Amino acid sequence: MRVKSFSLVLGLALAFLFSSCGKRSSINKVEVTVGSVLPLTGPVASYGKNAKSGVDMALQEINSEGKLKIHVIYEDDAGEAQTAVSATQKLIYTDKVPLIIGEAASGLSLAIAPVCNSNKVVLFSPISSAAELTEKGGDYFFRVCPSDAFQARVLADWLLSQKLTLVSLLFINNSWGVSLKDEFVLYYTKGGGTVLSTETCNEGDRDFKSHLTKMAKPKVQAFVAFTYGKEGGPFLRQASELGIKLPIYGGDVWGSPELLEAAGESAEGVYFTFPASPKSEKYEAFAKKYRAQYGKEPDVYAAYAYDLAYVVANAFTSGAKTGEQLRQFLVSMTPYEGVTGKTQFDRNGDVVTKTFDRKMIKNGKYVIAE
Amino acid sequence: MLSQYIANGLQAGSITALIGIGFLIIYRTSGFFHFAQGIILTLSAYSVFFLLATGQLNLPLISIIFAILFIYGFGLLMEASIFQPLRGRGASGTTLLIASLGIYIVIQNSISLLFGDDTLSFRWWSVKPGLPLLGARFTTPQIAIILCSWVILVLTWVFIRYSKIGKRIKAVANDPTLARMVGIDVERIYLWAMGLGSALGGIAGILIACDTDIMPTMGMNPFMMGMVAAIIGGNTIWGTAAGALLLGMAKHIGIIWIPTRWQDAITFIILLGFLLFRPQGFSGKRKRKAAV
Repeated sequence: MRVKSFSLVLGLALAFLFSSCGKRSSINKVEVTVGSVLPLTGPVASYGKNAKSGVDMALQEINSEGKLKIHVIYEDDAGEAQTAVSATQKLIYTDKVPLIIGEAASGLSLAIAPVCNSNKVVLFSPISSAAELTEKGGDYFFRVCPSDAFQARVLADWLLSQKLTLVSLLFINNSWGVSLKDEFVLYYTKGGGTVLSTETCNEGDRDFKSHLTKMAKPKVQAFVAFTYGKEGGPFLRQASELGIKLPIYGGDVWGSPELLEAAGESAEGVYFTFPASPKSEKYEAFAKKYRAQYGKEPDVYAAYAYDLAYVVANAFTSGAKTGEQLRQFLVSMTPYEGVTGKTQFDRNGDVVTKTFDRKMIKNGKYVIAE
Repeated sequence: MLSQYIANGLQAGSITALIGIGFLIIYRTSGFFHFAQGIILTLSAYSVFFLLATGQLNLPLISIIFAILFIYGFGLLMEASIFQPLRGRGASGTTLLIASLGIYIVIQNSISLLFGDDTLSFRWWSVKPGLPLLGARFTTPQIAIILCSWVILVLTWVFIRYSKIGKRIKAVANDPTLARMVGIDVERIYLWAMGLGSALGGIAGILIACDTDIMPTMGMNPFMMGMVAAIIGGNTIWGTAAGALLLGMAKHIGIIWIPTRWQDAITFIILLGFLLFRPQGFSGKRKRKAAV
């Protein structure tokens, strides 16, 4: 009796196995669902929307190839941590996704990383670059954008190599800005530089005249500002309106078209560090397609998100299904050659293959400095 | 150096005064906290952008006049189609506040949908260093902000004090029931107040946009400042103006000594101080308990 029921179960199992095999070989398609938590409305929606555009564009290409179909359930957190946590829980417990694309702001990634880690769901960010996420992001946090620790070092070296040893600094008061500032001050002072004044602003601030007045100390040689393009625009405009002619250095976010729109002529001659794109042909093709589809220049996040979607597709193609398997794939994968250059991760989930270029704005275009 | 901080404070104070007056007229007359005033600022700036930058109309001044007229009409429409029916059903100030908050959210998200969340600009001049004046630098938009704000402030004061409608607005603000008894068409006055307040807010929004460009959330912070100015000003026009100047100066001069991260907090520390120690504001008289 026991043997009989065992053989029955075995027989059924085999039948199912074969039937599912037959199904797969006849359609030859794997369908997977992943989640996404990004700000699609609210004050920082532009970052989330650009990332979504990048993901969507990549998925159109991947899904049209026919081998793999990836669905993304987009949850909007409006840039608020509490909403982001609820959205993450919904994606994990209700939709049972093995991977979540998100978040934009580093502070929000910090907020949802514990939920993802305790459920063994991969959290994969195209934007969050705060240095503290290396440790606090846990085993399941990965990012396509390089950590700010690296960027801060590149920027500090750049200033020191230009013999600029006295600077004033402005940073945005959130996880991203604070960690970038901390890392920068660390490397810069170690290399012999002095930060004369350190000013703070908030996301969405528009009036920097008094910040600038305070930063313009008598001996200062340059300004360093870690703000997004949204604040960077008025900051640069007001600097030239106040007649400040010092060189101004910023972070990678200043490579967003929004900065040019708001700063206009005053963006001329501004320096910033920007992720290097070695395969410029591939990037150009991407940018051309993006322009045709969305009618605007892609920003760096759209490009990161585009590469991110391809890495996710590769992970699923390799046969990974659960969060644990996806994590294993990401940690051990061979470098992926995308539009933003090579992508490969270390054990902390930080990308190790991205370098930064020294860039500047000249005649309204982004060019390599020097 | 100090003169630059004072100039920055003067500019912030002037625009805050204008926003404060717009809020005050609606708040005092209609008696509810009109949150949507924050989006009126944004909406008028986007109207100018729509007319000017999308090539609908290539004449800056005419675009601005059209935008102000549009916002005036929008205020009337809001009052006639939302607040008046609600009031007719006996809605309390809280209900009107929630309706107003709803308008804010709906319009802000509509603007996001239509125009996107990125910063946009309708600037038709090039960015130049400001003119040096008494040791500070002023750009043309900044001078325009200061001059327009104070000229409009005086005009509004004259209108409220001397015109027939203005006097009625004052009467309704003081006591709507009594105003109704002496034969004032209170509903009409509500319309007037909403239209006037919206137009003032609209002008302020356009002035802000000339200085720092537009984005869907641009109206909120300036509106909060204007609202605080109206409260600490004790609900009068000149009190609000004085409150606005105090706020602007404190915000910009204060950060000479305290770290810039406290700049936004200054506004609310001042508000708290007033609420605790001088709840009637600058100019208001302390109310005595009514003797029965």
